[in-house]
Amino acid sequence: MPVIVVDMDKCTGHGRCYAVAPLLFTDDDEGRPIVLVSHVEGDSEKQALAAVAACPESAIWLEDDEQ
Amino acid sequence: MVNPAPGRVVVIGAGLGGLRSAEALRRRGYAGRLVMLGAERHLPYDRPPLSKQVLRGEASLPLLRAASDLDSLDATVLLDTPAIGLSVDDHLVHTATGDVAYDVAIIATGAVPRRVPGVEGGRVLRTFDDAHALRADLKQESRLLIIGAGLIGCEVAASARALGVTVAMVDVLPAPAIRVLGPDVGRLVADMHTEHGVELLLNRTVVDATRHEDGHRVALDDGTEVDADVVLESIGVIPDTSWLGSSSGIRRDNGVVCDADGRAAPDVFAVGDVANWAGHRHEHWTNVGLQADHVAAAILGQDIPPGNVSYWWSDQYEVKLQGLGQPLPEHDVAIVTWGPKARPVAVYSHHGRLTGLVGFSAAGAIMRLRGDVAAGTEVGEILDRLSPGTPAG
Repeated sequence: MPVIVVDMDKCTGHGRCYAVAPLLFTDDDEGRPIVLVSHVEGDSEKQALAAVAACPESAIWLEDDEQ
Repeated sequence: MVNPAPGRVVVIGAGLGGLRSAEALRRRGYAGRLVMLGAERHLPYDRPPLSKQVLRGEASLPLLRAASDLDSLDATVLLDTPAIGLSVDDHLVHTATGDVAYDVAIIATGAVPRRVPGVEGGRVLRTFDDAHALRADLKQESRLLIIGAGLIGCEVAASARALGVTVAMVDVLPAPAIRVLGPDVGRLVADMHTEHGVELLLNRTVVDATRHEDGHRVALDDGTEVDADVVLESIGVIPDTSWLGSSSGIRRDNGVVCDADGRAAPDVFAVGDVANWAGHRHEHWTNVGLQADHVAAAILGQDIPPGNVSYWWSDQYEVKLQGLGQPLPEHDVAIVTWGPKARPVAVYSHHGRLTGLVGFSAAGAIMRLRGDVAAGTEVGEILDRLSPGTPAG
Protein backbone atom coordinates (compact mmCIF):
# COMPACT_ATOMS: atom_id res chain seq x y z
CA MET A 1 0.00 0.00 0.00
CA PRO A 2 1.49 3.44 -0.92
CA VAL A 3 2.75 5.48 2.01
CA ILE A 4 2.86 9.30 2.27
CA VAL A 5 6.32 10.82 2.69
CA VAL A 6 6.85 14.47 3.67
CA ASP A 7 10.33 16.02 3.45
CA MET A 8 10.21 18.48 6.33
CA ASP A 9 13.45 20.12 5.17
CA LYS A 10 11.74 21.10 1.93
CA CYS A 11 8.42 22.03 3.56
CA THR A 12 8.05 25.78 4.10
CA GLY A 13 4.48 25.83 5.40
CA HIS A 14 2.35 26.67 2.38
CA GLY A 15 -0.47 24.71 3.98
CA ARG A 16 -1.73 23.28 0.71
CA CYS A 17 -1.66 19.61 1.79
CA TYR A 18 -4.04 20.03 4.71
CA ALA A 19 -6.15 22.44 2.66
CA VAL A 20 -6.76 19.98 -0.20
CA ALA A 21 -6.59 16.72 1.79
CA PRO A 22 -7.87 17.55 5.30
CA LEU A 23 -8.58 13.90 6.07
CA LEU A 24 -4.94 12.94 5.57
CA PHE A 25 -3.08 15.98 6.97
CA THR A 26 -3.49 18.53 9.73
CA ASP A 27 -1.33 21.51 10.70
CA ASP A 28 1.04 22.11 13.59
CA ASP A 29 1.74 25.41 15.37
CA GLU A 30 4.10 26.55 12.64
CA GLY A 31 1.73 25.83 9.79
CA ARG A 32 3.53 22.65 8.81
CA PRO A 33 1.80 19.35 8.20
CA ILE A 34 1.20 16.41 10.46
CA VAL A 35 0.34 13.25 8.55
CA LEU A 36 -2.83 11.74 10.00
CA VAL A 37 -3.11 8.73 7.72
CA SER A 38 0.15 7.47 6.28
CA HIS A 39 -0.95 4.42 4.30
CA VAL A 40 -3.36 5.23 1.49
CA GLU A 41 -5.30 3.37 -1.16
CA GLY A 42 -8.32 3.97 -3.37
CA ASP A 43 -9.95 7.32 -2.66
CA SER A 44 -7.43 8.25 0.00
CA GLU A 45 -4.60 7.60 -2.48
CA LYS A 46 -6.29 9.98 -4.93
CA GLN A 47 -6.51 12.61 -2.19
CA ALA A 48 -2.86 12.05 -1.35
CA LEU A 49 -1.92 12.53 -5.01
CA ALA A 50 -3.90 15.79 -5.02
CA ALA A 51 -1.81 16.91 -2.04
CA VAL A 52 1.38 15.90 -3.88
CA ALA A 53 0.32 18.05 -6.85
CA ALA A 54 -0.67 20.95 -4.59
CA CYS A 55 2.70 21.22 -2.82
CA PRO A 56 4.69 24.17 -4.22
CA GLU A 57 7.94 22.77 -2.82
CA SER A 58 7.55 19.19 -4.12
CA ALA A 59 7.98 18.15 -0.51
CA ILE A 60 5.38 15.35 -0.58
CA TRP A 61 5.37 12.10 -2.50
CA LEU A 62 4.12 8.54 -2.27
CA GLU A 63 6.40 5.56 -1.87
CA ASP A 64 5.60 1.89 -2.10
CA ASP A 65 5.54 0.30 1.30
CA GLU A 66 8.36 -2.24 1.45
CA GLN A 67 6.25 -4.82 3.30
CA MET B 1 -24.74 12.65 -15.29
CA VAL B 2 -23.45 10.47 -18.09
CA ASN B 3 -20.55 11.88 -20.04
CA PRO B 4 -18.82 9.68 -22.54
CA ALA B 5 -15.09 10.07 -21.85
CA PRO B 6 -13.38 11.83 -24.75
CA GLY B 7 -11.11 9.72 -26.92
CA ARG B 8 -8.41 12.36 -27.18
CA VAL B 9 -7.66 15.34 -24.98
CA VAL B 10 -5.21 17.91 -26.31
CA VAL B 11 -3.63 20.19 -23.71
CA ILE B 12 -2.29 23.40 -25.23
CA GLY B 13 0.60 24.50 -23.06
CA ALA B 14 3.20 22.50 -21.14
CA GLY B 15 3.65 24.68 -18.09
CA LEU B 16 2.12 24.17 -14.67
CA GLY B 17 -1.46 24.41 -15.99
CA GLY B 18 -0.90 21.97 -18.81
CA LEU B 19 0.84 19.43 -16.63
CA ARG B 20 -1.65 19.70 -13.76
CA SER B 21 -4.52 19.25 -16.24
CA ALA B 22 -2.96 16.07 -17.60
CA GLU B 23 -2.24 14.79 -14.08
CA ALA B 24 -5.75 15.54 -12.89
CA LEU B 25 -7.31 13.69 -15.82
CA ARG B 26 -5.17 10.60 -15.16
CA ARG B 27 -5.72 10.78 -11.40
CA ARG B 28 -9.46 10.84 -12.07
CA GLY B 29 -9.24 7.73 -14.20
CA TYR B 30 -9.12 9.11 -17.73
CA ALA B 31 -7.61 6.36 -19.92
CA GLY B 32 -7.87 7.91 -23.38
CA ARG B 33 -5.20 9.60 -25.44
CA LEU B 34 -3.48 12.66 -24.05
CA VAL B 35 -1.42 15.10 -26.09
CA MET B 36 0.44 18.08 -24.61
CA LEU B 37 1.75 20.88 -26.83
CA GLY B 38 4.57 22.96 -25.36
CA ALA B 39 5.68 26.23 -26.93
CA GLU B 40 9.08 26.12 -25.25
CA ARG B 41 11.83 23.56 -25.77
CA HIS B 42 11.79 22.54 -22.09
CA LEU B 43 9.81 19.83 -20.34
CA PRO B 44 7.20 21.24 -17.90
CA TYR B 45 9.00 23.31 -15.30
CA ASP B 46 8.06 25.45 -12.35
CA ARG B 47 8.17 29.25 -12.58
CA PRO B 48 8.36 30.50 -8.96
CA PRO B 49 12.04 29.45 -8.60
CA LEU B 50 13.03 31.51 -11.68
CA SER B 51 13.12 34.82 -9.79
CA LYS B 52 14.81 33.21 -6.79
CA GLN B 53 16.96 30.05 -6.86
CA VAL B 54 17.53 30.12 -10.63
CA LEU B 55 18.42 33.82 -10.70
CA ARG B 56 20.78 33.37 -7.73
CA GLY B 57 22.45 30.50 -9.58
CA GLU B 58 21.44 27.90 -6.98
CA ALA B 59 19.26 25.83 -9.29
CA SER B 60 19.07 24.89 -12.94
CA LEU B 61 15.87 24.04 -14.84
CA PRO B 62 13.29 23.36 -12.09
CA LEU B 63 11.40 20.49 -13.72
CA LEU B 64 7.96 19.79 -12.29
CA ARG B 65 8.48 16.08 -12.95
CA ALA B 66 11.59 14.17 -13.86
CA ALA B 67 11.50 12.95 -17.47
CA SER B 68 11.10 9.34 -16.30
CA ASP B 69 8.25 10.36 -14.04
CA LEU B 70 6.57 12.14 -16.95
CA ASP B 71 6.38 8.82 -18.84
CA SER B 72 3.99 7.46 -16.23
CA LEU B 73 1.43 10.03 -17.41
CA ASP B 74 1.26 8.20 -20.74
CA ALA B 75 1.01 11.49 -22.63
CA THR B 76 2.47 12.51 -25.97
CA VAL B 77 4.46 15.64 -25.16
CA LEU B 78 5.38 17.75 -28.20
CA LEU B 79 7.90 20.43 -27.23
CA ASP B 80 8.88 23.45 -29.33
CA THR B 81 5.40 23.16 -30.83
CA PRO B 82 3.41 26.29 -30.09
CA ALA B 83 -0.23 26.28 -31.12
CA ILE B 84 -0.81 28.88 -33.83
CA GLY B 85 -4.56 28.57 -34.07
CA LEU B 86 -7.64 26.64 -33.05
CA SER B 87 -10.93 25.87 -34.75
CA VAL B 88 -13.89 25.10 -32.53
CA ASP B 89 -15.97 24.08 -35.55
CA ASP B 90 -13.39 21.59 -36.84
CA HIS B 91 -12.08 20.47 -33.43
CA LEU B 92 -8.50 21.18 -34.54
CA VAL B 93 -5.47 22.83 -33.01
CA HIS B 94 -3.12 24.27 -35.62
CA THR B 95 0.66 24.11 -35.27
CA ALA B 96 3.51 24.95 -37.64
CA THR B 97 4.03 21.24 -38.24
CA GLY B 98 0.39 20.30 -38.80
CA ASP B 99 -3.06 20.11 -37.28
CA VAL B 100 -3.86 18.16 -34.13
CA ALA B 101 -7.42 16.86 -33.80
CA TYR B 102 -9.08 16.94 -30.40
CA ASP B 103 -12.23 15.67 -28.77
CA VAL B 104 -11.58 18.01 -25.88
CA ALA B 105 -8.99 20.81 -25.77
CA ILE B 106 -7.63 22.53 -22.66
CA ILE B 107 -6.02 25.91 -23.22
CA ALA B 108 -3.17 26.50 -20.74
CA THR B 109 -0.93 28.92 -22.62
CA GLY B 110 -0.37 31.20 -19.65
CA ALA B 111 0.62 34.80 -20.14
CA VAL B 112 3.36 36.92 -21.66
CA PRO B 113 5.10 39.89 -20.05
CA ARG B 114 3.68 43.33 -20.68
CA ARG B 115 6.40 45.54 -22.14
CA VAL B 116 7.27 49.10 -21.18
CA PRO B 117 6.80 51.35 -24.21
CA GLY B 118 10.02 52.95 -25.39
CA VAL B 119 12.44 50.67 -23.53
CA GLU B 120 14.91 49.04 -25.88
CA GLY B 121 16.88 45.98 -24.90
CA GLY B 122 15.12 45.48 -21.58
CA ARG B 123 14.85 42.05 -19.98
CA VAL B 124 11.68 40.32 -18.87
CA LEU B 125 11.26 37.34 -16.55
CA ARG B 126 8.71 34.76 -17.52
CA THR B 127 10.51 31.75 -18.96
CA PHE B 128 13.56 29.76 -17.91
CA ASP B 129 15.43 31.21 -20.88
CA ASP B 130 14.51 34.73 -19.67
CA ALA B 131 15.90 33.90 -16.22
CA HIS B 132 19.05 32.45 -17.72
CA ALA B 133 19.63 35.58 -19.82
CA LEU B 134 19.00 37.91 -16.87
CA ARG B 135 21.29 35.83 -14.68
CA ALA B 136 24.07 36.13 -17.28
CA ASP B 137 23.64 39.93 -17.32
CA LEU B 138 23.89 40.38 -13.56
CA LYS B 139 27.44 40.84 -12.32
CA GLN B 140 28.34 42.02 -8.85
CA GLU B 141 29.25 45.45 -10.19
CA SER B 142 26.06 45.71 -12.29
CA ARG B 143 23.41 48.34 -11.79
CA LEU B 144 19.93 46.90 -12.25
CA LEU B 145 16.85 49.03 -12.79
CA ILE B 146 13.57 47.22 -12.19
CA ILE B 147 10.53 48.86 -13.76
CA GLY B 148 7.45 47.66 -11.87
CA ALA B 149 7.51 46.79 -8.15
CA GLY B 150 5.01 43.96 -8.20
CA LEU B 151 5.78 40.62 -6.57
CA ILE B 152 8.09 39.53 -9.42
CA GLY B 153 9.97 42.83 -9.39
CA CYS B 154 10.35 42.59 -5.60
CA GLU B 155 11.62 39.01 -5.78
CA VAL B 156 14.16 39.90 -8.45
CA ALA B 157 15.27 42.89 -6.35
CA ALA B 158 15.87 40.59 -3.37
CA SER B 159 17.74 38.01 -5.45
CA ALA B 160 19.85 40.68 -7.14
CA ARG B 161 20.80 42.21 -3.80
CA ALA B 162 21.87 38.74 -2.64
CA LEU B 163 24.21 38.70 -5.65
CA GLY B 164 25.62 42.07 -4.62
CA VAL B 165 24.03 43.91 -7.54
CA THR B 166 23.10 47.59 -7.16
CA VAL B 167 19.31 47.79 -7.49
CA ALA B 168 16.87 50.61 -8.17
CA MET B 169 13.15 49.86 -8.51
CA VAL B 170 10.60 52.27 -9.94
CA ASP B 171 6.82 52.05 -9.73
CA VAL B 172 3.96 54.34 -10.67
CA LEU B 173 2.16 53.53 -7.39
CA PRO B 174 3.11 54.66 -3.85
CA ALA B 175 4.13 51.20 -2.56
CA PRO B 176 5.32 47.84 -3.92
CA ALA B 177 2.75 45.17 -4.84
CA ILE B 178 -0.01 47.53 -3.80
CA ARG B 179 -2.69 45.73 -5.80
CA VAL B 180 -2.12 42.57 -3.79
CA LEU B 181 -1.17 44.05 -0.42
CA GLY B 182 -2.84 47.45 -0.19
CA PRO B 183 -0.86 50.59 0.73
CA ASP B 184 -0.26 49.87 4.45
CA VAL B 185 1.22 46.41 3.99
CA GLY B 186 2.95 47.57 0.81
CA ARG B 187 4.82 50.11 2.93
CA LEU B 188 6.18 47.31 5.15
CA VAL B 189 7.52 45.64 2.02
CA ALA B 190 8.97 48.98 0.86
CA ASP B 191 10.82 49.30 4.19
CA MET B 192 12.17 45.77 3.78
CA HIS B 193 13.67 46.65 0.39
CA THR B 194 15.05 49.97 1.58
CA GLU B 195 16.74 48.22 4.52
CA HIS B 196 18.37 45.85 2.06
CA GLY B 197 19.77 48.71 0.03
CA VAL B 198 17.30 48.92 -2.84
CA GLU B 199 16.70 52.45 -4.09
CA LEU B 200 12.92 52.73 -4.35
CA LEU B 201 11.56 55.29 -6.80
CA LEU B 202 7.84 55.26 -6.09
CA ASN B 203 5.02 57.39 -7.48
CA ARG B 204 7.01 57.81 -10.65
CA THR B 205 6.66 56.77 -14.26
CA VAL B 206 9.16 56.19 -17.01
CA VAL B 207 8.95 58.94 -19.61
CA ASP B 208 11.99 58.21 -21.72
CA ALA B 209 14.59 55.50 -22.16
CA THR B 210 17.71 55.54 -24.23
CA ARG B 211 20.19 52.77 -24.82
CA HIS B 212 23.85 53.47 -25.44
CA GLU B 213 27.03 51.46 -25.54
CA ASP B 214 27.50 51.46 -21.78
CA GLY B 215 23.93 50.68 -20.86
CA HIS B 216 20.62 52.42 -20.35
CA ARG B 217 19.55 55.85 -19.24
CA VAL B 218 15.96 55.98 -18.06
CA ALA B 219 14.20 59.28 -17.38
CA LEU B 220 11.33 59.51 -14.89
CA ASP B 221 8.49 62.02 -14.84
CA ASP B 222 9.93 63.93 -11.86
CA GLY B 223 13.14 64.64 -13.75
CA THR B 224 15.17 61.84 -12.17
CA GLU B 225 17.53 60.05 -14.54
CA VAL B 226 18.65 56.53 -13.72
CA ASP B 227 21.68 54.91 -15.33
CA ALA B 228 21.61 51.13 -15.44
CA ASP B 229 23.50 48.28 -17.05
CA VAL B 230 20.44 46.06 -17.02
CA VAL B 231 16.75 47.00 -17.16
CA LEU B 232 14.05 44.55 -16.10
CA GLU B 233 10.49 45.22 -17.27
CA SER B 234 8.17 43.68 -14.68
CA ILE B 235 4.91 45.57 -15.08
CA GLY B 236 2.69 42.52 -15.24
CA VAL B 237 1.53 40.05 -17.84
CA ILE B 238 -1.01 39.76 -20.64
CA PRO B 239 -2.95 36.50 -21.17
CA ASP B 240 -1.38 34.63 -24.08
CA THR B 241 -4.30 34.50 -26.50
CA SER B 242 -2.92 36.22 -29.61
CA TRP B 243 -2.20 32.81 -31.20
CA LEU B 244 -5.96 32.10 -31.30
CA GLY B 245 -6.50 34.59 -34.11
CA SER B 246 -9.90 36.03 -34.91
CA SER B 247 -11.67 33.00 -36.40
CA SER B 248 -11.18 30.40 -33.66
CA GLY B 249 -14.66 30.67 -32.20
CA ILE B 250 -13.13 31.40 -28.78
CA ARG B 251 -14.23 34.62 -27.10
CA ARG B 252 -11.50 36.73 -25.49
CA ASP B 253 -11.78 39.50 -22.94
CA ASN B 254 -8.97 39.72 -20.38
CA GLY B 255 -8.07 36.17 -21.36
CA VAL B 256 -10.14 33.30 -22.69
CA VAL B 257 -13.72 33.91 -21.55
CA CYS B 258 -14.98 30.87 -19.63
CA ASP B 259 -17.98 29.91 -17.55
CA ALA B 260 -17.64 28.93 -13.88
CA ASP B 261 -16.42 25.45 -14.91
CA GLY B 262 -13.70 26.79 -17.20
CA ARG B 263 -15.64 26.03 -20.37
CA ALA B 264 -14.78 28.44 -23.19
CA ALA B 265 -16.66 26.78 -26.07
CA PRO B 266 -18.08 23.33 -26.79
CA ASP B 267 -15.29 20.88 -25.84
CA VAL B 268 -12.81 23.65 -25.10
CA PHE B 269 -11.70 24.61 -21.59
CA ALA B 270 -9.07 27.00 -20.25
CA VAL B 271 -7.07 27.06 -17.01
CA GLY B 272 -4.53 29.29 -15.29
CA ASP B 273 -3.22 32.73 -16.18
CA VAL B 274 -4.85 32.68 -19.62
CA ALA B 275 -8.33 31.86 -18.31
CA ASN B 276 -11.01 34.35 -17.32
CA TRP B 277 -13.43 32.21 -15.28
CA ALA B 278 -16.80 33.90 -14.79
CA GLY B 279 -15.18 37.32 -14.90
CA HIS B 280 -12.14 36.53 -12.75
CA ARG B 281 -8.60 35.88 -13.89
CA HIS B 282 -6.01 34.73 -11.35
CA GLU B 283 -2.26 34.54 -11.73
CA HIS B 284 -1.42 32.59 -8.60
CA TRP B 285 0.33 29.22 -8.67
CA THR B 286 -2.20 27.52 -6.41
CA ASN B 287 -5.17 28.58 -8.49
CA VAL B 288 -3.90 26.73 -11.57
CA GLY B 289 -3.91 23.33 -9.89
CA LEU B 290 -7.41 23.83 -8.49
CA GLN B 291 -8.73 24.89 -11.90
CA ALA B 292 -7.04 21.93 -13.60
CA ASP B 293 -8.71 19.52 -11.19
CA HIS B 294 -12.05 21.28 -11.62
CA VAL B 295 -11.82 21.07 -15.42
CA ALA B 296 -10.78 17.41 -15.33
CA ALA B 297 -13.85 16.62 -13.21
CA ALA B 298 -16.08 18.61 -15.59
CA ILE B 299 -14.67 16.82 -18.65
CA LEU B 300 -15.19 13.39 -17.09
CA GLY B 301 -18.64 14.22 -15.72
CA GLN B 302 -17.51 13.75 -12.12
CA ASP B 303 -18.45 15.73 -9.03
CA ILE B 304 -16.77 19.14 -9.03
CA PRO B 305 -14.23 19.34 -6.17
CA PRO B 306 -14.90 21.93 -3.46
CA GLY B 307 -13.24 25.30 -3.95
CA ASN B 308 -10.47 26.50 -1.70
CA VAL B 309 -9.54 29.82 -0.17
CA SER B 310 -7.24 31.69 -2.54
CA TYR B 311 -3.56 31.46 -1.56
CA TRP B 312 -0.35 33.07 -2.81
CA TRP B 313 3.18 33.49 -1.54
CA SER B 314 6.31 35.46 -2.33
CA ASP B 315 9.85 34.89 -1.03
CA GLN B 316 11.84 38.09 -0.53
CA TYR B 317 15.13 38.13 1.44
CA GLU B 318 14.55 35.90 4.47
CA VAL B 319 10.82 36.60 4.55
CA LYS B 320 8.06 34.40 3.18
CA LEU B 321 5.04 36.54 2.44
CA GLN B 322 1.86 34.47 2.38
CA GLY B 323 -1.65 35.61 1.57
CA LEU B 324 -5.03 33.99 2.05
CA GLY B 325 -8.29 35.26 0.60
CA GLN B 326 -8.84 38.08 -1.85
CA PRO B 327 -9.23 41.36 -0.02
CA LEU B 328 -10.14 44.31 -2.22
CA PRO B 329 -8.35 47.68 -2.12
CA GLU B 330 -11.22 49.33 -0.22
CA HIS B 331 -11.15 46.79 2.60
CA ASP B 332 -9.88 47.72 6.06
CA VAL B 333 -6.55 46.42 7.28
CA ALA B 334 -5.07 46.03 10.75
CA ILE B 335 -1.44 45.03 11.15
CA VAL B 336 -0.62 43.06 14.30
CA THR B 337 2.45 41.13 15.37
CA TRP B 338 2.34 37.44 16.08
CA GLY B 339 4.44 34.98 18.04
CA PRO B 340 7.70 35.35 19.98
CA LYS B 341 9.46 36.73 16.91
CA ALA B 342 6.79 39.45 16.48
CA ARG B 343 6.12 38.63 12.86
CA PRO B 344 3.72 41.05 11.13
CA VAL B 345 0.31 39.71 10.20
CA ALA B 346 -2.10 41.87 8.20
CA VAL B 347 -5.78 41.26 8.84
CA TYR B 348 -8.11 42.50 6.08
CA SER B 349 -11.82 42.97 6.64
CA HIS B 350 -14.91 44.46 5.10
CA HIS B 351 -17.90 45.58 7.19
CA GLY B 352 -16.23 43.90 10.17
CA ARG B 353 -15.85 40.52 8.50
CA LEU B 354 -12.51 38.86 7.74
CA THR B 355 -11.69 38.91 3.99
CA GLY B 356 -8.01 38.04 3.92
CA LEU B 357 -4.68 37.65 5.72
CA VAL B 358 -1.08 38.36 4.82
CA GLY B 359 1.68 36.95 7.00
CA PHE B 360 5.36 37.79 7.05
CA SER B 361 6.85 34.34 7.73
CA ALA B 362 3.80 33.62 9.88
CA ALA B 363 2.35 30.41 8.41
CA GLY B 364 1.47 29.19 11.88
CA ALA B 365 -0.74 32.22 12.41
CA ILE B 366 -2.55 32.47 9.13
CA MET B 367 -3.06 28.82 8.13
CA ARG B 368 -5.08 28.15 11.29
CA LEU B 369 -7.43 30.90 10.15
CA ARG B 370 -8.07 29.70 6.60
CA GLY B 371 -11.53 28.45 7.54
CA ASP B 372 -12.27 31.87 9.03
CA VAL B 373 -11.31 33.58 5.76
CA ALA B 374 -13.79 31.33 3.95
CA ALA B 375 -16.47 31.94 6.57
CA GLY B 376 -15.90 35.68 6.98
CA THR B 377 -15.52 35.51 10.75
CA GLU B 378 -16.03 38.68 12.79
CA VAL B 379 -12.67 40.50 12.64
CA GLY B 380 -12.54 41.41 16.34
CA GLU B 381 -12.51 37.74 17.20
CA ILE B 382 -9.60 37.16 14.77
CA LEU B 383 -7.59 40.02 16.29
CA ASP B 384 -8.22 38.60 19.78
CA ARG B 385 -6.94 35.24 18.68
CA LEU B 386 -3.81 36.73 17.11
CA SER B 387 -2.94 39.25 19.80
CA PRO B 388 -0.03 38.48 22.09
CA GLY B 389 -0.90 37.35 25.58
CA THR B 390 -3.93 35.43 24.45
CA PRO B 391 -3.33 31.72 24.94
CA ALA B 392 -3.26 29.97 21.57
CA GLY B 393 -5.90 27.46 20.60
